[in-house]
Amino acid sequence: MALNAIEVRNLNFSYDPRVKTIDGVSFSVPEGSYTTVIGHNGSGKSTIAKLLLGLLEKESGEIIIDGLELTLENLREIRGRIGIVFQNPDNQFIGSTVRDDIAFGLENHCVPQNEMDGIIEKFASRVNMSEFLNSEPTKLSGGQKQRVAIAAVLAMRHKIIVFDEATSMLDPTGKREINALIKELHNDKKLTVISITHDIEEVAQSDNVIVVNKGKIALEGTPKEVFRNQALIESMQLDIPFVYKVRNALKKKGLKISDELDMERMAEEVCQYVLKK
Amino acid sequence: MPIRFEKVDFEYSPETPFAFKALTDINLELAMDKMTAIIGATGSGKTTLVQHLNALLLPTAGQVTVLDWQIKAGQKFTKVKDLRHRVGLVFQFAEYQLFEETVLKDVCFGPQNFGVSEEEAVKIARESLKIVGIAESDFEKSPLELSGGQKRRVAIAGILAMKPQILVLDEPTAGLDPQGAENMMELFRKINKENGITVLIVTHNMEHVLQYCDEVVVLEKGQLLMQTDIKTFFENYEYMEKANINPPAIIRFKELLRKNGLEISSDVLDIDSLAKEIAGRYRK
Amino acid sequence: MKNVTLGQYIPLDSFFHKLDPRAKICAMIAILIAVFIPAGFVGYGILAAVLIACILRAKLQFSFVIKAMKPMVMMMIFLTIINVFVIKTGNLLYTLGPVTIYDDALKQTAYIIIRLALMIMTTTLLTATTKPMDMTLGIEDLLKPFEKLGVPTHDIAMMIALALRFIPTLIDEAERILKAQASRGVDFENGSLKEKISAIMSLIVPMFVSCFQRADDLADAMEARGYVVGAKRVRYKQLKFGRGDYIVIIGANLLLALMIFLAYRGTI
Repeated sequence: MALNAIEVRNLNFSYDPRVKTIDGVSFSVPEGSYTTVIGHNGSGKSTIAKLLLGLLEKESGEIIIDGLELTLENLREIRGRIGIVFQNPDNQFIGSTVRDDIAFGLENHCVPQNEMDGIIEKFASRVNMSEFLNSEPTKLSGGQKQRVAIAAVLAMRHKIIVFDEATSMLDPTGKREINALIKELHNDKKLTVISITHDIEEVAQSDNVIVVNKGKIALEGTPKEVFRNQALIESMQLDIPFVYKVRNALKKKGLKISDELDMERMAEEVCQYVLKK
Repeated sequence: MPIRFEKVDFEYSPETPFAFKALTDINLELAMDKMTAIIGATGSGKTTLVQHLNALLLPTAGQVTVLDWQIKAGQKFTKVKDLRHRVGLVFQFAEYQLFEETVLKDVCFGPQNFGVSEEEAVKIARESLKIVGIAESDFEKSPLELSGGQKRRVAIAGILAMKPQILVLDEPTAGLDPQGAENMMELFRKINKENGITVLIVTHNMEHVLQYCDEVVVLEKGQLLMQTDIKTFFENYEYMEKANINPPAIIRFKELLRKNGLEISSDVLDIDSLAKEIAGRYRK
Repeated sequence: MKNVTLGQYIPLDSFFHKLDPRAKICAMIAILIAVFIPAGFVGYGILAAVLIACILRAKLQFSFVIKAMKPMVMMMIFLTIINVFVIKTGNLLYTLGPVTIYDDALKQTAYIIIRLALMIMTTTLLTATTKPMDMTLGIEDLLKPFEKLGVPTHDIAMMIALALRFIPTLIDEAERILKAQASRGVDFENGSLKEKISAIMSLIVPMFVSCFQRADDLADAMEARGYVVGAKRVRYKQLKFGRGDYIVIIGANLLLALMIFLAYRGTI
């Protein structure tokens, strides 16, 4: 039986006592899965990410990370198991160079000094940044800075990584690079990825989707299950993948097209359907 | 009066070790009353180009004509204020320029800088806030109390209140959620079509270019690569691939259909007409 | 804002660039003390010769050092004028109506100007050959003994390091806000006092808002990566003393001793 990397039960939190930002949220993330979280800005999804790392203090409820319940006392241990890559590439670059930035987390976790160089070089090369080890952040593009942030998180050997809109401030090239890198890192399924995102194509390719609306979990399931509810999703000001829109439009015209989330296979199917008969 | 670039070069910190040529030999004429997209990879010179339109940057060679004003390289341009009054420039992450205590005051700031009386400024500010969709109940709030998307709308209202003839927007939807971005683009279309303001948008989002813009200008490494209308632009699939532009989903899908033997007319640019066309072919 | 030479690091590869920042800071302190010892023109001549040799060895250009002195020119002129009017001892050199110039006045002024110039040469030599981050590490290590007195040396060093890291980012940000406000008709150069105040506010308020936002994000990023204020950490960058470092410290102290000797040989 697959274990859960993250288990959240009846989580509550608010910034302002009059408004519940997170309202009785429960969900679980299977170990080794690629889970995406969607919701419009202000729905509470980034707040959930911060709660998972104990960056915000929950009001009530349970958060279990890799089998360990998060409390005020074991924050450091929790943060040894779960890492996060934030949205703004500039504001999470702590060191003065790529090398120093990757070292920062190692310093905090008291990794022996003589092992640091090896670890830094290994993970810089993992994200393809070896030649920039001594570069300053101002000399790097947004995508490169995010790759460094990923290396810094990987260097701490977390089992779980949260990406909090990690590509939303990047240009299309940067987005493509980072999405490809995250996918590649997840390839051997040893890493659990939770990606908070607006990129609907990324969502379409993930294992599970959690839809957050007004501080609650509105929908949960595989992309196929979730995107079947086009009207509900659109009512929450969210988009559905292009192929789903096409399929639904064709259905309305009386054509029968299967549940297919891949654009290429969808095109083949449409052509066979139309041209064969 | 159009917007015209003639043989324009621009170099950052010329004659220093940091010298960097951001624009080379730009010849360009932009039509008024349209909505034009300016696209290109990061570092292709999009932002540099649009900052010439209100004389934040002055050409190091060539000449820029905007409305009634001419900016020539090497000559002092004295009508900066008049020009900036008529060309509104909205920066990336514009919400960071808000600084007054209330939303209304912040929107009044621009017009008052251009000599509009307080009373008149308040009147224009109210109109502008209404256009961008800020509720009356938020007028007296501090800008800091609003959500990210609303703040950006206030910043845009602050520029609209200057009553510009040309509105230039540098990546206006960056960082917004998809629905927020759509709404923002709808707003620009309204400003363009209903208020008759020429709109120029620097963007990376090809879906927006396809859906909302009339013309497109493509820059690459500081040079003008092409300028054309939207339909022609998106017909040329190979070209987009070569220029490293990720085409909108519908264009990609049509290309896949074509490869599988189903040619769809180039007029079909939205899902509903695509479905209609496919269904029509099926019935035939 | 970007062509300030005073305190700027020049990335070159020289003997001085490779030295341990602690050695350089110690040597600089010794030389600065030496500069303040009244060792006469002979002493200053020796110091100047040594410093010029060092600047050459550090592969720095003289024009760079001279540029660093530029901000001091006004101060030097001002000092000269004050001294001429105040000091009235020594031999009378020149009289023009009510203005009288004595040789002591010129001598005193020359001393001060030479001292200032020597100080700037010394500090430039340090800052131009030491990365700001290494300087922070050096200061942190040198302040270690004060930790027992409750001085949070590591936290101070971390604060300086973060400030250094964010200076270029904030300069870019300021430039962007400046341009955004200029597009709204703000004139940062001309205008009445009231307009000027509003122009400055339109820059400062957004800078504050943005700084707080960044600080918030940064705190989250640091905590998420396991940083706890005051907790034990292992430092990645270790400073190592080499032969050159000992030579520089001993050399600087010998120079200091020589100045003391020159200044007090008459009295012994």
